[in-house]
Amino acid sequence: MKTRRKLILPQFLHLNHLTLKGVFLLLIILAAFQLYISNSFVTEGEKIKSNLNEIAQLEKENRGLKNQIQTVSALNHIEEVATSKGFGKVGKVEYVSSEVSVASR
Amino acid sequence: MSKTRLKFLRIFFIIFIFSIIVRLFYWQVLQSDLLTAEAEGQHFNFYEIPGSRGEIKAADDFSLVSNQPTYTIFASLKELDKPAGEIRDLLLPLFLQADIKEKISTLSPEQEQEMRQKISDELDSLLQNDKLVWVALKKRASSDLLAQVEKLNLKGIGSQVTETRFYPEGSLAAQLVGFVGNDATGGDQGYFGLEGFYNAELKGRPGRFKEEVDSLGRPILVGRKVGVEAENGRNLVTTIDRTVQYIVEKKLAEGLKKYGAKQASALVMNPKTGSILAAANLPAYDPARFGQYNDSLYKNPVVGDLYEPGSTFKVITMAAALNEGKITPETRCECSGPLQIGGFSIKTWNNKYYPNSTMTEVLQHSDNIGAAYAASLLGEEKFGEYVKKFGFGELTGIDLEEEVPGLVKSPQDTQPIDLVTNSFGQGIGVTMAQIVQAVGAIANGGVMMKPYIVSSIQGDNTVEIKPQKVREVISSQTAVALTEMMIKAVEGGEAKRLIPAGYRVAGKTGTASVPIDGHYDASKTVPSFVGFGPAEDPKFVMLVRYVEPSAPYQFGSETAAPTFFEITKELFNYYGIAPNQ
Repeated sequence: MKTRRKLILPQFLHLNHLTLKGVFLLLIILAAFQLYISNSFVTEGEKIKSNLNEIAQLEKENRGLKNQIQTVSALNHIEEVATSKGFGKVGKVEYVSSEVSVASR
Repeated sequence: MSKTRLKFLRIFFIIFIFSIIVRLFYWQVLQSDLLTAEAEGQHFNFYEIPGSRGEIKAADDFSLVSNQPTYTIFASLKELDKPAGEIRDLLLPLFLQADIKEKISTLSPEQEQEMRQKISDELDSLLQNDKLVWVALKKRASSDLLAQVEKLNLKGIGSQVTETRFYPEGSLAAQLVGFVGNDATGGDQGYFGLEGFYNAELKGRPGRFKEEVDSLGRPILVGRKVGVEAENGRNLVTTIDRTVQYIVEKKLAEGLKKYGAKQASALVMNPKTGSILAAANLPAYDPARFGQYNDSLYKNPVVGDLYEPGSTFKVITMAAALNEGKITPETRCECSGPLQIGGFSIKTWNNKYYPNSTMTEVLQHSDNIGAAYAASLLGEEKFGEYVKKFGFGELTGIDLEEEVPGLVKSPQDTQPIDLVTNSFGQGIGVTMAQIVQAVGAIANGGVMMKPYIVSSIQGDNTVEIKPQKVREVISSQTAVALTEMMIKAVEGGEAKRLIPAGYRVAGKTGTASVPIDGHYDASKTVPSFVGFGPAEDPKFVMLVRYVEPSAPYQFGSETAAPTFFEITKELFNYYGIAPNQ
């Protein structure tokens, strides 16, 4: 003769019908949220790629500008520009002796 | 009958199952690596971020060498939608134009045609290669060329960004910085100068990444991304003052033209620290196009060329004799005529003799007989000791790749004639760096400093390089006495008209003959001038040297000395050094 054993559950698992419905609903909401977030993250890939391209472009531009600054700050270029604007080389520098009186104020 | 059919059916199933097992074994075991790689290729994007090579900067933090983006234009052969010939015809004029622009000299129509044919053949062989799926059509392409290629809108033709060296000051200090070429694997490798010496520090390490992508190849935000970050090379900050370097190169260029010399070089050092302020050599090359120049220009003659210093070496002889107390500036030498030794007759450079000269006058007249007299008082052993003490015959330790130690005879190989000829700088091989270091010791009160170019290596752990004292070679009293002698040598010598008014400069001319096939060719000379200024508180020690100037410019006083004083004048203005007389 078979005896039927009763499953003994902890107190907190003694859920009523309404609670089960609530848990089920929560699971659905969480699953939907997960789906939405995952989907958003995946589609963000396009944005990442475009941001990476933009970073690369800005870095390239930055490097180009830096090199341009260096080219125009090169001494031969400065001399060329100075000469074209009529500047000349200092021939002889006259140093003022400390023994010569100069206005002190 | 039905039994036979059943039997056939059984055999069929056995064969069928066996073939499935074989096929599975094939895909899952034999082809496992390939399939895994293909799957990885679909799920992941592999890319490499190049690590930038470190910059080389002047003392004012201005980049002597930096980097610029260039591009590798490639073809994905499977993706091309036009015939190879059509693509070649579209790319050929663009590539040809870019190559012509790169050339340092103009091409004749025949040379241009030859170049066109070469590019055309290369494109043909690359675009029609069946064994490859990806080929690099043009390396180091400029952004202009890339823009022109992109305008063609060719499917399967793409580009990859790389970096190449950029020289804002052009060929300024070319032999000092060296250049970047390729190593055996096609990677960047520094050659000569600082690029060669500091290649390990300058070289960056590329970063490699593996990133999860979607079916369209776009990165997934929450996907896996693993790899190693790129590591940029370290920057070098040098002691080179680019203004001094510019002044020196300009004056050398004028001198090279005026004197019709084969080569002109100068080295300027701060004697108190050993820091190199300028190191120039002409003719130079453009490091951005090094491949188009003769490779004999690559080596830096300042440290890589041996030469006989001639009379500039007399200051070393005098320093040794003074320091040993064998002479004083007033010691007199008979010096009445040629010196006969071992069957050789030693004469003065102009065959004029000044009997009863003081040692100061010996320097003034650049008297070989007087120098030999001072050396004879010292003796071979002591003279040899001082030659070694002043650093001749060994590396100075300067941070340049191509330095050579010089050529000094060992005591057992020395003949009596060697003491005499060495005393006035013949029969001994030195580098310009050694002469500057030795004379720098006199300018620095007898303390010899190690010459150096890089003052700081900047990176995650910045390393500051401090001046290093090598040794005290002579006493400070000897240094003071010798400085006075060198001042008088300039003021009473052939270069006196060149001294900037109101300044005291210590120096010595030198004119060495060039040894060819075992004898000295009198028509070929190496004139030089070494000195420091202002003599009372030296800011720089400088050596100017010409190689084989054309007649009538043969001597140091006619060639190297004028250039030395022209540079000196500019340096006094640049450093704001007022005259003290």
